[in-house]
Amino acid sequence: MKTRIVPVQNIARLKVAATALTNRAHGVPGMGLVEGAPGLGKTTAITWLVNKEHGIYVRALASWTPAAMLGALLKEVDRAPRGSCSQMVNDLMQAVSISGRGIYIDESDYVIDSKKMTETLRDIHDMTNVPVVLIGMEGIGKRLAHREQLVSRVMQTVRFQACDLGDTTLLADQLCEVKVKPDLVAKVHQLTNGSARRVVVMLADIEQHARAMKLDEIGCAEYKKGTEVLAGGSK
Amino acid sequence: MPHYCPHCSMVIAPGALVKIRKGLTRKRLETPPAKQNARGRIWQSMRMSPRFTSPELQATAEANAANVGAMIRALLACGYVRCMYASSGEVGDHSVYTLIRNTGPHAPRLRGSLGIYDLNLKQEVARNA
Repeated sequence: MKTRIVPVQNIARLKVAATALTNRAHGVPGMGLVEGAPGLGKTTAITWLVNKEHGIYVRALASWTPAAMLGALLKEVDRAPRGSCSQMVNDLMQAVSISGRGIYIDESDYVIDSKKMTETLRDIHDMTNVPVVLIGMEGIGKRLAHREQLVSRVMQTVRFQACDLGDTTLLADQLCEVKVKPDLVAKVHQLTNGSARRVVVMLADIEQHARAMKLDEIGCAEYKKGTEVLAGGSK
Repeated sequence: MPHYCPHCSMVIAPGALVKIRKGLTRKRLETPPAKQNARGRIWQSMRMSPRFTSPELQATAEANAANVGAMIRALLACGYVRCMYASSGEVGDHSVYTLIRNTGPHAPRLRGSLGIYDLNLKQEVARNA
Protein backbone atom coordinates (compact mmCIF):
# COMPACT_ATOMS: atom_id res chain seq x y z
CA MET A 1 0.00 0.00 0.00
CA LYS A 2 1.18 3.47 -0.80
CA THR A 3 0.65 6.34 1.58
CA ARG A 4 -0.73 9.50 0.15
CA ILE A 5 -3.73 11.77 0.20
CA VAL A 6 -5.85 10.65 -2.75
CA PRO A 7 -7.81 13.45 -4.45
CA VAL A 8 -11.23 11.82 -4.05
CA GLN A 9 -14.22 14.10 -4.40
CA ASN A 10 -14.35 15.00 -0.70
CA ILE A 11 -10.70 16.07 -0.69
CA ALA A 12 -11.12 17.98 -3.94
CA ARG A 13 -14.12 19.87 -2.55
CA LEU A 14 -12.26 20.65 0.68
CA LYS A 15 -9.27 21.93 -1.26
CA VAL A 16 -11.42 24.17 -3.45
CA ALA A 17 -13.24 25.54 -0.39
CA ALA A 18 -9.96 26.19 1.46
CA THR A 19 -8.52 28.04 -1.53
CA ALA A 20 -11.70 30.10 -1.82
CA LEU A 21 -11.52 30.98 1.89
CA THR A 22 -7.90 32.12 1.80
CA ASN A 23 -8.12 34.00 -1.51
CA ARG A 24 -11.51 35.63 -1.08
CA ALA A 25 -12.31 39.12 -2.27
CA HIS A 26 -12.30 42.10 0.06
CA GLY A 27 -15.40 42.32 2.23
CA VAL A 28 -16.51 38.77 1.61
CA PRO A 29 -17.09 36.85 4.86
CA GLY A 30 -14.94 33.78 5.27
CA MET A 31 -16.30 31.26 7.69
CA GLY A 32 -16.33 27.62 6.68
CA LEU A 33 -18.29 24.58 7.73
CA VAL A 34 -17.15 20.99 7.29
CA GLU A 35 -19.61 18.28 8.15
CA GLY A 36 -19.87 14.55 7.64
CA ALA A 37 -20.52 11.21 9.29
CA PRO A 38 -17.58 9.41 10.92
CA GLY A 39 -15.42 7.12 8.79
CA LEU A 40 -15.50 9.25 5.65
CA GLY A 41 -11.93 10.45 6.09
CA LYS A 42 -12.80 13.77 7.68
CA THR A 43 -10.05 13.72 10.29
CA THR A 44 -7.39 12.64 7.82
CA ALA A 45 -8.46 15.33 5.38
CA ILE A 46 -8.49 18.05 8.05
CA THR A 47 -5.07 17.02 9.39
CA TRP A 48 -3.70 17.29 5.90
CA LEU A 49 -5.40 20.65 5.30
CA VAL A 50 -4.25 22.17 8.60
CA ASN A 51 -0.68 21.14 7.81
CA LYS A 52 -0.96 22.54 4.32
CA GLU A 53 -2.38 25.87 5.44
CA HIS A 54 -0.46 26.03 8.74
CA GLY A 55 -3.76 26.62 10.50
CA ILE A 56 -4.48 26.95 14.19
CA TYR A 57 -6.19 23.70 15.12
CA VAL A 58 -8.02 22.99 18.35
CA ARG A 59 -10.39 20.20 19.28
CA ALA A 60 -13.42 21.33 21.25
CA LEU A 61 -14.27 19.54 24.48
CA ALA A 62 -17.66 19.08 26.10
CA SER A 63 -16.44 21.03 29.13
CA TRP A 64 -15.45 24.10 27.13
CA THR A 65 -16.43 27.57 28.27
CA PRO A 66 -15.55 30.74 26.31
CA ALA A 67 -12.48 31.18 28.55
CA ALA A 68 -11.37 27.59 27.97
CA MET A 69 -11.78 27.99 24.21
CA LEU A 70 -9.76 31.20 24.15
CA GLY A 71 -7.11 29.65 26.40
CA ALA A 72 -6.71 26.67 24.05
CA LEU A 73 -6.47 28.93 21.00
CA LEU A 74 -3.93 31.20 22.72
CA LYS A 75 -1.72 28.24 23.61
CA GLU A 76 -1.67 27.26 19.95
CA VAL A 77 -0.33 30.69 18.98
CA ASP A 78 2.27 30.49 21.73
CA ARG A 79 0.77 33.03 24.10
CA ALA A 80 -0.03 32.50 27.74
CA PRO A 81 -3.75 32.68 28.54
CA ARG A 82 -4.25 35.57 30.97
CA GLY A 83 -6.88 37.83 32.42
CA SER A 84 -10.50 38.12 31.46
CA CYS A 85 -12.16 36.79 28.34
CA SER A 86 -12.15 40.20 26.67
CA GLN A 87 -8.43 40.52 27.31
CA MET A 88 -7.83 37.06 25.86
CA VAL A 89 -9.92 37.89 22.79
CA ASN A 90 -7.73 40.94 22.25
CA ASP A 91 -4.54 38.88 22.66
CA LEU A 92 -5.81 36.29 20.23
CA MET A 93 -6.93 38.84 17.67
CA GLN A 94 -3.52 40.48 17.80
CA ALA A 95 -1.75 37.17 17.32
CA VAL A 96 -3.88 35.95 14.43
CA SER A 97 -3.90 39.25 12.61
CA ILE A 98 -0.09 39.25 12.62
CA SER A 99 0.23 35.70 11.30
CA GLY A 100 -3.02 35.53 9.29
CA ARG A 101 -3.39 31.84 10.15
CA GLY A 102 -6.87 30.37 9.85
CA ILE A 103 -8.68 28.88 12.86
CA TYR A 104 -9.94 25.27 12.65
CA ILE A 105 -12.20 23.97 15.40
CA ASP A 106 -12.85 20.24 15.41
CA GLU A 107 -15.84 18.65 17.18
CA SER A 108 -17.49 22.04 17.00
CA ASP A 109 -20.81 20.42 17.93
CA TYR A 110 -19.78 21.42 21.45
CA VAL A 111 -19.17 25.02 20.42
CA ILE A 112 -22.35 25.74 18.49
CA ASP A 113 -24.56 25.00 21.47
CA SER A 114 -23.12 27.97 23.31
CA LYS A 115 -24.15 31.37 22.05
CA LYS A 116 -21.19 33.06 23.69
CA MET A 117 -18.61 30.83 22.02
CA THR A 118 -20.07 31.07 18.52
CA GLU A 119 -20.44 34.83 18.83
CA THR A 120 -16.84 35.12 20.09
CA LEU A 121 -15.65 33.24 17.01
CA ARG A 122 -17.74 35.54 14.85
CA ASP A 123 -16.15 38.56 16.53
CA ILE A 124 -12.67 37.21 15.93
CA HIS A 125 -13.55 36.55 12.32
CA ASP A 126 -15.09 40.00 11.82
CA MET A 127 -12.23 41.90 13.43
CA THR A 128 -9.29 40.03 11.93
CA ASN A 129 -10.72 38.63 8.68
CA VAL A 130 -8.96 35.27 9.14
CA PRO A 131 -10.92 32.22 7.97
CA VAL A 132 -12.68 30.35 10.76
CA VAL A 133 -13.62 26.75 9.94
CA LEU A 134 -15.98 24.71 12.10
CA ILE A 135 -15.72 20.95 11.72
CA GLY A 136 -18.46 18.73 13.07
CA MET A 137 -20.78 15.81 12.67
CA GLU A 138 -23.49 15.53 10.07
CA GLY A 139 -26.27 18.06 10.64
CA ILE A 140 -24.16 20.79 12.26
CA GLY A 141 -25.35 23.18 9.56
CA LYS A 142 -28.97 22.61 10.52
CA ARG A 143 -28.25 23.20 14.19
CA LEU A 144 -26.59 26.49 13.30
CA ALA A 145 -29.47 27.63 11.11
CA HIS A 146 -31.15 29.73 13.81
CA ARG A 147 -28.02 31.87 14.34
CA GLU A 148 -28.60 34.09 11.36
CA GLN A 149 -25.63 36.37 11.85
CA LEU A 150 -23.29 33.41 11.82
CA VAL A 151 -24.97 31.61 8.92
CA SER A 152 -24.72 34.72 6.75
CA ARG A 153 -20.95 34.63 7.23
CA VAL A 154 -20.56 31.01 6.22
CA MET A 155 -19.05 31.22 2.77
CA GLN A 156 -18.16 27.59 2.18
CA THR A 157 -19.85 24.42 3.34
CA VAL A 158 -18.16 21.12 2.63
CA ARG A 159 -20.33 18.09 3.22
CA PHE A 160 -18.33 14.88 3.33
CA GLN A 161 -20.12 12.23 1.34
CA ALA A 162 -19.73 8.49 0.98
CA CYS A 163 -17.21 7.34 -1.65
CA ASP A 164 -18.84 6.65 -5.01
CA LEU A 165 -17.54 4.03 -7.44
CA GLY A 166 -15.22 6.58 -9.07
CA ASP A 167 -13.66 7.42 -5.71
CA THR A 168 -13.22 3.74 -4.85
CA THR A 169 -11.54 3.16 -8.23
CA LEU A 170 -9.26 6.13 -7.61
CA LEU A 171 -8.32 4.82 -4.16
CA ALA A 172 -7.59 1.36 -5.60
CA ASP A 173 -5.46 2.80 -8.42
CA GLN A 174 -3.47 5.17 -6.25
CA LEU A 175 -3.02 3.17 -3.06
CA CYS A 176 -2.68 -0.46 -4.18
CA GLU A 177 0.59 -1.61 -5.61
CA VAL A 178 -1.14 -4.41 -7.49
CA LYS A 179 -3.73 -3.88 -10.20
CA VAL A 180 -7.25 -4.39 -8.87
CA LYS A 181 -9.66 -5.45 -11.60
CA PRO A 182 -12.90 -3.42 -12.01
CA ASP A 183 -15.14 -6.29 -10.87
CA LEU A 184 -13.34 -6.48 -7.52
CA VAL A 185 -13.39 -2.68 -7.16
CA ALA A 186 -17.14 -2.77 -7.67
CA LYS A 187 -17.42 -5.51 -5.04
CA VAL A 188 -15.34 -3.45 -2.58
CA HIS A 189 -17.52 -0.43 -3.25
CA GLN A 190 -20.65 -2.46 -2.61
CA LEU A 191 -19.36 -4.02 0.61
CA THR A 192 -17.96 -0.87 2.22
CA ASN A 193 -21.02 1.39 1.85
CA GLY A 194 -18.73 4.21 0.77
CA SER A 195 -16.73 4.46 3.98
CA ALA A 196 -13.22 5.59 3.01
CA ARG A 197 -11.75 4.01 6.13
CA ARG A 198 -13.20 0.59 5.29
CA VAL A 199 -12.18 0.86 1.63
CA VAL A 200 -8.56 1.42 2.70
CA VAL A 201 -8.63 -1.50 5.15
CA MET A 202 -10.11 -3.76 2.49
CA LEU A 203 -7.63 -2.69 -0.20
CA ALA A 204 -4.77 -3.45 2.19
CA ASP A 205 -6.14 -6.94 2.67
CA ILE A 206 -6.57 -7.43 -1.08
CA GLU A 207 -3.00 -6.35 -1.70
CA GLN A 208 -1.67 -8.71 0.94
CA HIS A 209 -3.69 -11.51 -0.61
CA ALA A 210 -2.29 -10.73 -4.07
CA ARG A 211 1.26 -10.68 -2.71
CA ALA A 212 0.81 -14.02 -1.01
CA MET A 213 -0.45 -15.54 -4.28
CA LYS A 214 2.22 -13.68 -6.28
CA LEU A 215 -0.33 -11.99 -8.56
CA ASP A 216 0.16 -8.73 -10.48
CA GLU A 217 -3.53 -8.37 -11.09
CA ILE A 218 -6.36 -9.42 -8.84
CA GLY A 219 -10.06 -9.77 -9.56
CA CYS A 220 -13.09 -11.33 -7.92
CA ALA A 221 -12.12 -14.81 -9.14
CA GLU A 222 -8.77 -14.75 -7.33
CA TYR A 223 -10.15 -13.05 -4.24
CA LYS A 224 -13.31 -15.09 -3.89
CA LYS A 225 -12.58 -16.43 -0.43
CA GLY A 226 -11.49 -13.01 0.80
CA THR A 227 -14.70 -11.27 -0.23
CA GLU A 228 -16.74 -13.87 1.60
CA VAL A 229 -14.70 -13.33 4.74
CA LEU A 230 -14.95 -9.57 4.45
CA ALA A 231 -18.67 -9.60 3.76
CA GLY A 232 -19.38 -11.51 6.96
CA GLY A 233 -16.41 -10.42 9.08
CA SER A 234 -15.70 -7.35 11.17
CA LYS A 235 -13.55 -5.73 8.47
CA MET B 1 16.84 32.61 33.43
CA PRO B 2 19.37 30.47 31.59
CA HIS B 3 18.65 26.83 30.86
CA TYR B 4 21.38 24.23 31.10
CA CYS B 5 21.93 21.11 29.08
CA PRO B 6 21.62 18.15 31.49
CA HIS B 7 24.63 16.45 29.91
CA CYS B 8 27.26 19.12 29.41
CA SER B 9 25.98 22.00 31.60
CA MET B 10 26.02 24.32 28.60
CA VAL B 11 23.75 27.35 28.62
CA ILE B 12 21.05 26.72 26.04
CA ALA B 13 18.95 29.88 26.40
CA PRO B 14 17.69 31.55 23.21
CA GLY B 15 20.37 33.71 21.64
CA ALA B 16 23.18 31.81 23.39
CA LEU B 17 25.95 30.03 21.54
CA VAL B 18 25.49 26.28 21.59
CA LYS B 19 28.44 23.97 21.06
CA ILE B 20 27.48 21.42 18.41
CA ARG B 21 30.84 19.60 18.47
CA LYS B 22 34.49 20.53 18.94
CA GLY B 23 35.20 23.79 17.15
CA LEU B 24 31.61 24.28 15.92
CA THR B 25 29.17 26.54 17.72
CA ARG B 26 25.75 27.77 16.61
CA LYS B 27 23.63 30.60 17.83
CA ARG B 28 20.24 29.52 19.10
CA LEU B 29 17.46 31.31 17.24
CA GLU B 30 15.34 33.78 19.18
CA THR B 31 12.08 32.41 17.84
CA PRO B 32 11.11 29.24 16.02
CA PRO B 33 10.52 29.60 12.27
CA ALA B 34 7.07 30.91 11.38
CA LYS B 35 6.56 28.59 8.43
CA GLN B 36 6.09 24.93 9.19
CA ASN B 37 8.82 22.57 8.08
CA ALA B 38 8.32 18.82 7.71
CA ARG B 39 9.12 18.17 11.41
CA GLY B 40 6.55 20.78 12.39
CA ARG B 41 3.93 19.14 10.20
CA ILE B 42 4.70 15.68 11.58
CA TRP B 43 4.36 17.01 15.14
CA GLN B 44 1.07 18.68 14.27
CA SER B 45 -0.23 15.44 12.73
CA MET B 46 0.79 13.54 15.87
CA ARG B 47 -1.05 16.02 18.05
CA MET B 48 -4.17 15.83 15.93
CA SER B 49 -4.38 12.03 15.70
CA PRO B 50 -5.30 10.01 18.79
CA ARG B 51 -3.44 7.04 17.28
CA PHE B 52 -1.13 7.07 14.29
CA THR B 53 1.11 4.91 12.15
CA SER B 54 4.15 5.99 10.18
CA PRO B 55 2.38 5.86 6.78
CA GLU B 56 -0.51 7.95 8.11
CA LEU B 57 1.88 10.64 9.28
CA GLN B 58 3.69 10.54 5.93
CA ALA B 59 0.40 11.15 4.13
CA THR B 60 -1.08 13.87 6.33
CA ALA B 61 2.20 15.72 6.94
CA GLU B 62 3.57 15.21 3.42
CA ALA B 63 6.87 14.08 4.88
CA ASN B 64 9.20 11.23 3.89
CA ALA B 65 9.49 7.91 5.70
CA ALA B 66 13.00 8.58 7.03
CA ASN B 67 11.96 11.86 8.65
CA VAL B 68 8.83 10.40 10.23
CA GLY B 69 10.80 7.37 11.45
CA ALA B 70 13.50 9.52 13.02
CA MET B 71 10.90 11.60 14.80
CA ILE B 72 8.97 8.58 16.12
CA ARG B 73 12.15 6.83 17.33
CA ALA B 74 13.45 9.91 19.15
CA LEU B 75 10.10 10.64 20.80
CA LEU B 76 9.71 6.98 21.73
CA ALA B 77 13.10 7.01 23.43
CA CYS B 78 12.27 10.20 25.33
CA GLY B 79 8.91 8.96 26.57
CA TYR B 80 6.78 11.30 24.43
CA VAL B 81 5.28 8.54 22.30
CA ARG B 82 4.04 5.12 23.35
CA CYS B 83 3.75 2.09 21.08
CA MET B 84 0.20 0.71 21.24
CA TYR B 85 0.75 -2.16 18.83
CA ALA B 86 4.07 -3.48 17.55
CA SER B 87 4.15 -4.51 13.91
CA SER B 88 4.77 -8.16 13.10
CA GLY B 89 7.07 -7.02 10.31
CA GLU B 90 4.78 -8.30 7.57
CA VAL B 91 4.18 -6.11 4.53
CA GLY B 92 1.31 -3.73 5.19
CA ASP B 93 1.34 -4.28 8.97
CA HIS B 94 2.37 -1.10 10.76
CA SER B 95 3.07 -0.27 14.39
CA VAL B 96 0.50 1.99 16.02
CA TYR B 97 1.66 4.80 18.28
CA THR B 98 0.07 7.43 20.44
CA LEU B 99 1.39 10.77 21.67
CA ILE B 100 1.39 10.78 25.46
CA ARG B 101 3.10 14.13 26.10
CA ASN B 102 1.50 16.81 24.01
CA THR B 103 3.49 19.74 25.38
CA GLY B 104 2.47 22.43 22.91
CA PRO B 105 2.49 23.73 19.35
CA HIS B 106 6.24 23.65 18.67
CA ALA B 107 7.86 20.50 17.33
CA PRO B 108 10.71 19.22 19.48
CA ARG B 109 14.20 19.40 18.02
CA LEU B 110 15.99 16.10 17.74
CA ARG B 111 19.38 15.96 19.44
CA GLY B 112 20.53 12.47 18.47
CA SER B 113 21.99 10.62 21.44
CA LEU B 114 21.26 13.62 23.70
CA GLY B 115 17.52 13.16 23.27
CA ILE B 116 15.33 16.10 22.28
CA TYR B 117 14.99 19.79 23.01
CA ASP B 118 11.40 20.67 23.82
CA LEU B 119 10.72 24.23 22.67
CA ASN B 120 7.41 24.34 24.51
CA LEU B 121 8.93 23.55 27.91
CA LYS B 122 12.20 25.21 26.90
CA GLN B 123 14.20 22.28 28.25
CA GLU B 124 16.30 19.36 27.10
CA VAL B 125 14.73 15.95 27.55
CA ALA B 126 17.12 13.00 27.84
CA ARG B 127 16.57 9.56 26.37
CA ASN B 128 15.42 6.89 28.80
CA ALA B 129 18.24 4.37 29.38
